[in-house]
Amino acid sequence: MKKTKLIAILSAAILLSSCFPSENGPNPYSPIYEKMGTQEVAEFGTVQYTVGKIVKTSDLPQNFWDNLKIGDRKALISCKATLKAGIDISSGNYKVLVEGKKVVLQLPHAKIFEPINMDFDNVQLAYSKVGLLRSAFTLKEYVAYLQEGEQQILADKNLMNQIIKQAESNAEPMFRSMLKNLGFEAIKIEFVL
Amino acid sequence: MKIKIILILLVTSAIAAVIILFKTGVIGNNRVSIVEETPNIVEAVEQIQELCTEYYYDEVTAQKQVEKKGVSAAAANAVNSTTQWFTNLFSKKSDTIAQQQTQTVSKLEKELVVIAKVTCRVGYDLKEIMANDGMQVNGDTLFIDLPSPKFLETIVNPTDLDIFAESGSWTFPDDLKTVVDWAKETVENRAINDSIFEKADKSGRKILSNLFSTMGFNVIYNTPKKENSTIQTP
Repeated sequence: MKKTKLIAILSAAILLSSCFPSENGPNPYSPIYEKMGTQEVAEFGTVQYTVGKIVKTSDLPQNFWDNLKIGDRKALISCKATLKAGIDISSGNYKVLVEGKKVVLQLPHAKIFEPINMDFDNVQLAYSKVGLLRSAFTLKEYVAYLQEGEQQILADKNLMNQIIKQAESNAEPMFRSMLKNLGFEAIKIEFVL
Repeated sequence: MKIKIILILLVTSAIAAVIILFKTGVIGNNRVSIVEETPNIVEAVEQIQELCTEYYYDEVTAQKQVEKKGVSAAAANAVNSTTQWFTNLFSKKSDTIAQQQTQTVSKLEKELVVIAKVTCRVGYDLKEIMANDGMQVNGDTLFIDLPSPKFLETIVNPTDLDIFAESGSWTFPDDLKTVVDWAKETVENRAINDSIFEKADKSGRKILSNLFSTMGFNVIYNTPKKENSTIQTP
């Protein structure tokens, strides 16, 4: 009888010890937003790109334990991001050379304005599958997948270069038309700064 | 006797196995899912003409709660009342903290707490000036019909969201969208109360005056009348 009680107590102790959180768990601390308040800028937006993306997530085996998995979790999230680009003269980095009816406007190269806009209005869960022994996706997990998608868009250098080129080629007629309205006849716009 | 020991060992082993399987990620969600690299498809390219003169940054905390109903609510209340009765029994009358209502069992069926960082881009739609012949020159004086500044974009990206607490089952993306919409509206109202349009207008005039004065113009602005308004914000 005593043995039974001893075993029962030991078993309960082992089970209880496994209930304590491990030290390697995620850190829930979120830093305070580094930018608060207002900031004065001078950004001439000239182009807007809408980029579509399918965020694809699944449980791919990463280690030994993953190969023993029972059930699967997969999700496809379709989302869209809007990227605006143009000429930023916030730091007064432009030059104007006027000679009678001639004007030369030297501007900085175009840039993509940050942050990009990944609006939740355009987020849709296209597909989701969770195995019987797997936990359902949480909002925190979905947000983490979208964050990864956002990073993938920003890391696409070809896309970024394409947007910057388009922004410069749109900026040229915009400033030309503005200067023409002011009465200038010979207009030269350069992206050199 | 032996049967009892075997039974206890079996039950313990089964529970331990489930815990080990959960902790190692064989079952449950205790494993990192992989987000595969997918192509970025350009769906639209639009020519815009806008001047952003001011950014407004703010952070809000959104909380959504759904309380338990029916039997589960009654059970939670019963447990909480009993715990409260025992707490009061063993605590001094002056101990106000112990007298306060404590919740041993949560009354909430589900809860969501999200910290959202919001960025507003404020400025002018230059098409309004260009299309309506809004720039007229008379000698060395330039008259500009400057429209009222407006929110060009209010942005909350996934990287701006911190799901601080989440319990229960929530629908993706609808529940998240509700929270984000609320955060956007709240910050826009705060920005308006913080005179963001006046600040954006001041910046805009400074930018345009500096740009056109280097071309030899004195700039005079024709602007629409402003309406002062204050909006209640949380």
